Amino acid sequence: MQRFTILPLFHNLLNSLKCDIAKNYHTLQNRLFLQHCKTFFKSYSESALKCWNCGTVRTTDALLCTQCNLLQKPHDTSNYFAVLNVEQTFDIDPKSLTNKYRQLQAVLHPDKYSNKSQAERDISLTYSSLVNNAYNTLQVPLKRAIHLLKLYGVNIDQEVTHPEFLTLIMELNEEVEAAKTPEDLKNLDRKNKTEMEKINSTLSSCFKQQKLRQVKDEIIKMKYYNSIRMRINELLRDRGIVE
Amino acid sequence: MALKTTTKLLKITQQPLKIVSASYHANVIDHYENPRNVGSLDKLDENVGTGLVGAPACGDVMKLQIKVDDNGKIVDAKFKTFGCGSAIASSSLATEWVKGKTVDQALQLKNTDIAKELSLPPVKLHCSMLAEDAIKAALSDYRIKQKSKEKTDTN
Repeated sequence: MQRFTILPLFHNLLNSLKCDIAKNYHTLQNRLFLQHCKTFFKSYSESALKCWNCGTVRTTDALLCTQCNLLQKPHDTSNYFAVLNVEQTFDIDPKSLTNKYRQLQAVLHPDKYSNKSQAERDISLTYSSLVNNAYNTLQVPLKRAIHLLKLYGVNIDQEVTHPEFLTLIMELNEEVEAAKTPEDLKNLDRKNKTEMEKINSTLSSCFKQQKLRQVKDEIIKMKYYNSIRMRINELLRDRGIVE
Repeated sequence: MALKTTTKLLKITQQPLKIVSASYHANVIDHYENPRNVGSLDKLDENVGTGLVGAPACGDVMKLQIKVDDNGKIVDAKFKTFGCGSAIASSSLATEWVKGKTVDQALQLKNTDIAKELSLPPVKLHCSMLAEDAIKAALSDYRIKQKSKEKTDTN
């Protein structure tokens, strides 16, 4: 029996899952107990995350295996909040997001794996680019909102926009087109930024209240204002003004 | 030796740039650089139909207007598009095509025809769809105007 009592991990697992082997723990013969443990451990490890190299069970946010210290594959590739290990919310703190991003890239950037095995190099390459995509998406409010909405199961595809709103956007675009001086453009840019900030705060409160329909409408509005912003920036760049 | 490696690397990095500059088909560039029928028609005119559509996926807006004579023939078409090159080219081509057609013939116009003429890649197919939607919207606006006109005439 002594062989098993020195394995506290076993005890924890057995106790926490209230497995019936644990109930009969003391009454069982050694051999029988071993057999039970084997099947139990097998089923447990199949459902858990394992190191691709040595098979050691790992946690979802661990980048390196605790046993063999090799780089692990990303656990969830579709959820960018999970990829960067940040809270899944629209009101994200940009500073802590950047910190998380840098921490991750400090470990998994391909430059650090040039002398490692092909398998690890491949993981580093895909993982690192996944983290880049996640960061670039979550950093921009519009992209973050679209991603978060997608995680709720709502996609933005062919939606019909209100005619009144389209007329307004058309007028705004015409104003940009008619702008003569860089000052005119800058004024329009400022006006446009205020509009986008308004949408941002509406998005924030709508996400909190889970008003997904309204979130969708606001995201679509944001798309149009964003394309106006890009047009103004392009015109300013053409005139050699970069801020 | 080092110089040779650098030149090789330069060659590799320069290759993708060439591909990017050639991604638009000549027809798209032609319509983009010399767009036909840019402008506006009087939207209050009862012979004018206005279609205003937008693409939420990219934030493009397109306005397409048609002027129809008493025989139901489209005599003029104008467009104004704020969007990418493909969207501008699609709407420019669409105005060219509907001119001289009857309202019923114009309804037959499909986005696939536009996409084919401009050799649009799959990611830009929605631009041609936007142009088709704009024509449909303009035609239906014209029809609604004509119906309300008939009503006021009979009253």
